[in-house]
Amino acid sequence: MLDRLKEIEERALAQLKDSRRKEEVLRIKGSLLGKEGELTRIIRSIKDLPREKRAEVGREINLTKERIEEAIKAALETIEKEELKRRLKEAPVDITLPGRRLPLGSIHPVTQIIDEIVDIFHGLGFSVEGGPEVEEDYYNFEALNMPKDHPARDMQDTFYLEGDRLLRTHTSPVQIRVMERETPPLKVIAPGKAYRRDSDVSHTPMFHQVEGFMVDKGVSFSHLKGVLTTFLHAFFSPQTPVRFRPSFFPFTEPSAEVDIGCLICSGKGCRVCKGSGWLEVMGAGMIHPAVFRAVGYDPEEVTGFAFGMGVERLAMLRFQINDIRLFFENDIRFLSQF
Amino acid sequence: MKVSYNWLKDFVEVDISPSELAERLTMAGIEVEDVVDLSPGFKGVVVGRILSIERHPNADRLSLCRVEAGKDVYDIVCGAKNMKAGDRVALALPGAILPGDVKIGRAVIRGVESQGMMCSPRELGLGEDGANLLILPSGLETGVDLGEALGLMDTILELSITPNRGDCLSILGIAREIAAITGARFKDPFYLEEGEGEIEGLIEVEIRDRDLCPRYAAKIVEGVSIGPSPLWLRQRLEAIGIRPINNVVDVTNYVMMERGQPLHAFDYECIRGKTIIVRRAEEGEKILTLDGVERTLSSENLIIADREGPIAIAGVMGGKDSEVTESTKTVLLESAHFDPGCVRRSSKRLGLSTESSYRFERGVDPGENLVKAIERAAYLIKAVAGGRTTRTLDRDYLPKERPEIRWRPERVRSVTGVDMGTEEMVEVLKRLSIRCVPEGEGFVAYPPSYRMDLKEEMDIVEEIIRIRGYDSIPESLPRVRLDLTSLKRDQILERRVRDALKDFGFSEVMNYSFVSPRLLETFGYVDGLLSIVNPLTEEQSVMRPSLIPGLVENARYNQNHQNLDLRLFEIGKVFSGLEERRKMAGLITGSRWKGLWAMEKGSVDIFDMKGVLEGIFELLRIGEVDFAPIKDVPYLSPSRGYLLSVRGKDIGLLGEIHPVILHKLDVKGPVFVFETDLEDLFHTPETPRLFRPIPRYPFVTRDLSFLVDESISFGSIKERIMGMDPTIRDVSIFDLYKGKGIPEGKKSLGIRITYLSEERTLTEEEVNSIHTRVIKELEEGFHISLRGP
Repeated sequence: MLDRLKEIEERALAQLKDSRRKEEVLRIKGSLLGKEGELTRIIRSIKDLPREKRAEVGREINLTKERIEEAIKAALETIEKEELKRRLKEAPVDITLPGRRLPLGSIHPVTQIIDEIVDIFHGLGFSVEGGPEVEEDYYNFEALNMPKDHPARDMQDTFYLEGDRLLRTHTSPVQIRVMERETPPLKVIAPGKAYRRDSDVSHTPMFHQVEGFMVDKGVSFSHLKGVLTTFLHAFFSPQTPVRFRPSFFPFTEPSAEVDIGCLICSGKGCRVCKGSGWLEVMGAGMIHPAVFRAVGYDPEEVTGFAFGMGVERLAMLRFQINDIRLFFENDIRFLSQF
Repeated sequence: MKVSYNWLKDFVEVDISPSELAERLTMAGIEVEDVVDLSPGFKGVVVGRILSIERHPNADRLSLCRVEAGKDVYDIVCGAKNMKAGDRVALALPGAILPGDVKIGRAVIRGVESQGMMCSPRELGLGEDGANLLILPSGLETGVDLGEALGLMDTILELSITPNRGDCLSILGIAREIAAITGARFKDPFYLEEGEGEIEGLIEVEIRDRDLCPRYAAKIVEGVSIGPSPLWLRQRLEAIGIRPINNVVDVTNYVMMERGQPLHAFDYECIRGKTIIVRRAEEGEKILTLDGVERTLSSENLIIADREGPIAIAGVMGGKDSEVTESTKTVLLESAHFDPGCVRRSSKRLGLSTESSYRFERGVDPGENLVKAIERAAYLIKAVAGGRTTRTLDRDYLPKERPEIRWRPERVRSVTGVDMGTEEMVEVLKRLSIRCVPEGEGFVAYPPSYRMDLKEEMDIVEEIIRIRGYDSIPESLPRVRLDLTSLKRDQILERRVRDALKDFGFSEVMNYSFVSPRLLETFGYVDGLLSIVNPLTEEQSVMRPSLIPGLVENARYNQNHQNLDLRLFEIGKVFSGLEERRKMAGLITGSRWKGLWAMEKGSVDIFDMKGVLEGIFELLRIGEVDFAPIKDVPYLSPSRGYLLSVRGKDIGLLGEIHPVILHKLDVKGPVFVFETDLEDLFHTPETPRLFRPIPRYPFVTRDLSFLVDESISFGSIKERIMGMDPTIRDVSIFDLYKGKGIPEGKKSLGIRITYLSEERTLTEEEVNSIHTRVIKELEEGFHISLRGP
């Protein structure tokens, strides 16, 4: 039996010496020390030996086992070391190959601009409201101080629907709906779609506006200028020149157009600003007393300002897009640029 | 509206350059869209005077003229016949350039040298006549540049007049504004013709609808000779874009542009019964208008009629039968005031918009200008067409009390936020001819008759700050009470969902809310649609009831542009009947791993779309979503359509677009879509976010591979297993195979079961015992047969 042990040990040590792979070592380990391994079987057979021999043989077996286990451990360590050495010497990968991932999609430029506008006004404490796109004449025109036969209706060529309804021509009806529902103080913006019967390089029959208004005691034109200048400086840059000039909207008085210094030529005059050095970006004004009366507010009690801007126009300026129709063609080669 | 800088100078002593004027006007609310330098189209042409005319020695049809221009005398060969010695002509000297880049030099014509050219109106771009020479007024100094001599050096301002400022639709009106803005002196020096002869007896004027026509003036000019207008008149009209017609009509247009009062000239002889009746038209009455169209009238149209019928549509257009023609001898001029709403309805109903209706709609001065205009026209007609004028007949039913506007300086200060003195306010209003009388804490303002837009205090506030300049208003931020303004749940979730879709590789699209009815029909939408009454095109005439047709169209567009691998989504409103709902839809088609190397190739299938939805549902934490087969969605493939619901509430659809529809639309398939209602989705309660302790004991997994009937769903197997024992924590799938080696009607399924206890480490024996029960349950419940080891 001791001879057998010796023979097993010599063979194992020789095999382990030649082993270059981890699997091989583990296989050798299994064949010796596994459930049915040679050494295991010998250990199990100790009980068949005469009692007086058991101690001696047992000790010998344990010593052999320890040596083999030692050798296995050493073999594994050698292999691991060599493995590491080899891996460190591996040929470099071609790192110019593209990484593996699903490409990102994109958010529509109009949505991105709306989010930006909303975030700025939200930072100023404005809340965000919406309203129906299919509107009643009352909310779109009448309550906004545009009675039937008012020539100002020509400014907004309207799509009519069956049943005396229409597609809102601006987001201003949201003013009326919110004011009917709530009481001042109010600071609200309302982004959304609007529709006009118009289609050319600079007009699409559907477009987006962001409406905003503030109503409280003592709100003045000075505040209107302050808030909108703050917004425009945040949206464009703090250096952007801003000017307010008188204009007309039936639902505000005094009314203003808001211009910024041309972003292309910095005010020198170019094709984009038609030589004026200014770009029209918003309409605004003090909410007309007639509008307050329509929603049951007392114009002696509260004042307010309102403003509106075309989102596509701002997106065109921001991204230097020259044709508004691109926004609605949904060409992936356009969309994926944003 | 175009206005001429030179013409403005007739009314206001403006001493600033046109471009500075444009800036000042724009900053006072009269937006100048363009400033056009109107230099004539020729250079090097001077005023010449013909000294003598002789026959050309070598040509019968040509003559040889000696022409004096200042110090020099030139020999000019000429083919025209309409000149005589002493006439002043347009002489193009060598080096001159005519319109069309025609260069003039010395030329030898039939053996005689011509030292320049005498020009026809056509050659100078000043008229149609190309056969005759342009004969200039006899007073012009010779040798002077022709453009300067004729006053052709001008600048045209293109103005955008807001609809409230009808009073600015004229030279006079703009001149008044310039005076108010710049402080320049305003003048109205123009010669008027009060007339001599009696008008009574020549014409009866009967105003039946005085509410719609509160003032009507008429005047007759007898013995006119109709012909083309003189050059200066044609020139002024053409400069602002009005085509000259004949001298009388040109004068009416001229006065309208100058004073803002639309005028009409009737051929007096054509007025039957020598009576003018202003009344509502009778239903079905007809008139042939000046543009040659026969129009059927209704009681919405106010008309000018004679004894027999309509001769003009009040404020809109005259009738052909009473038009001023070459044979007209006597003219009846009309200068009237018509109700703005009435003219607007009339014009809208007839689809006929004119310079006249445009002005009446926006409010024409009913005051003294109405009479001044007719007298100005009479004066000019006499000057350019001859004749004798009668006095003016003026039927004036306007209320005599003047509108009064009460305003308070304190209000001006508080609304504008400008600390401005009361005297300054009154002074600004005075410049606008608004007289103010103190009353209590404020004033009563009396606006001039042409400022019909001024009605209440806020109008006065606007006038004051407009003229003072918006630049003078300080910028300030309001002090407000702090309150909570968070974005609404829907707004936050919509952004998160949008961003998630973007991260899943989807691009957001935006389609028009209106689509073609044919496209909708292809998708099976026929009833309950909301149509536009006045669409731009048939293609955009129906409001979309779903986002999906638009997305499929986007797929087609992009496929046609070589982009086959598409992941698109849209968020927007859809419409049916009275309802509009906010929806979100997505589309996926093409290859699964577009552009990726060393990855399994393959087209997307419904699970790619389902996976995206699951991702969104997980994000929203709405819990278990049920996907139930649905067969009655016409645009989905009948075996690949699913209704999505959460705890019994429908929230949307998932499916594959019906191949027949793809074929019809020429879209490459397969195409998978989903659509969900955002309100329903966002209002589904969230699973509460509460902490559960992290398991302290290890889990054990067991794999099972088996054959089972194809009809048995993974979901039902999972449900059965999950309910068997609390230690079963998860059942997942790692393999699904059908086809080769698997019997018909069967599928091979590989599932992995995870066992875990929160109280102790599970022993081998415990797991084995539950797992054996699981196998038995599956064998009994689903007749599975185990495969492999």
